[in-house]
Amino acid sequence: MSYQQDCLLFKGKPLCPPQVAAFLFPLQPLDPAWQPRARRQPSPHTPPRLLQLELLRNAPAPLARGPDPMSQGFAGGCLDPAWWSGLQLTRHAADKLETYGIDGARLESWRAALERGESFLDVVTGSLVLVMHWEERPWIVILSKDGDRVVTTYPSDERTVTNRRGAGRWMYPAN
Amino acid sequence: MDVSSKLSAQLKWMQLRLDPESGAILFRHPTLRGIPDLVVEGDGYTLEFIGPTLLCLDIQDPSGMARLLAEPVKGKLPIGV
Repeated sequence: MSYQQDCLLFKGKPLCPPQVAAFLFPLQPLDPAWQPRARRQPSPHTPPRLLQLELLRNAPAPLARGPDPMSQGFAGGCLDPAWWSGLQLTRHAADKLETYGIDGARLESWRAALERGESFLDVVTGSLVLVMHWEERPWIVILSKDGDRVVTTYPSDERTVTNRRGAGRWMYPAN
Repeated sequence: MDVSSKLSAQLKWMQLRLDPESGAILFRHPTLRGIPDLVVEGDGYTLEFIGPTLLCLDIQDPSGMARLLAEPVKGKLPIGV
C-alpha cells in the first residue's frame, strides 16, 4: 500500500478515493530501505568555532570578507556567518561602541548577534542595513556600500524597524 | 532656556571624533557612557539621549546631511558639498 493511501486511512477505513488522495498528497511511496543519516562528525583537524572566527578576523581582507552579500543565492535573511564575522569596524563604529560602553565580553556578544542579523537594502541611502537583536532590543547596523565595513550602529525599537520595512524603505537585497 | 538652546549648550561641550576614512563625524559626551534610551533618526544622522542628556550626535553621512542645508549656509562651509 502506498504512502498516500496509508495517510488517508482512519481506523482502517479510507477517508477518500485513492485518486483524490494522490491529488492531495502527491508523495512518493516510502522507501523501506531508508535509514536516518548519521550526523557527520567534525574532522579532528577542524578548529573549534571560536578559533575559526578568530582566524577569519585575522585573515587578509578578501578571505575574511567571504562572498559578496549581494550575490547570495537567496533574498535577505541570515547570510553566511563567516561573512558577518569578517566584517571590519570603521573607526567611527568603534567610537560608537566605546560611547555605549560595549567592550570585552559584551563586544564579543554584540559581534555574535551580528551573525544572526537580517540584511536589507535602504532604498533612500543605498546602504546595506543589518537589523540584529541584542540585549532585548533591535539594533541597526549601517554597512558601507561595498558591504564589508560597519559604518555605524545604534539601538532602535520594534516599531521603527517594522515601519521601515512596512513602508518599503528597506528592501531585501536583490540576488 | 528652550529645547534648541539646551541642545546647543550641550553640543558646545561635546568631544569631537572624526573618521577620515568614512568621513563620519561623532560628537559625544566627554564622560557619559551607556546605551541611549532615546534615538532620534534623521537621514544620515542620529541624536541619542540618555534621559535629558545628549549622549552623542552621530553624523554617519555628512554629505547627506549637508544636502539638507540651505544654499547660503552651504556657501559658508569650509568644504564643498
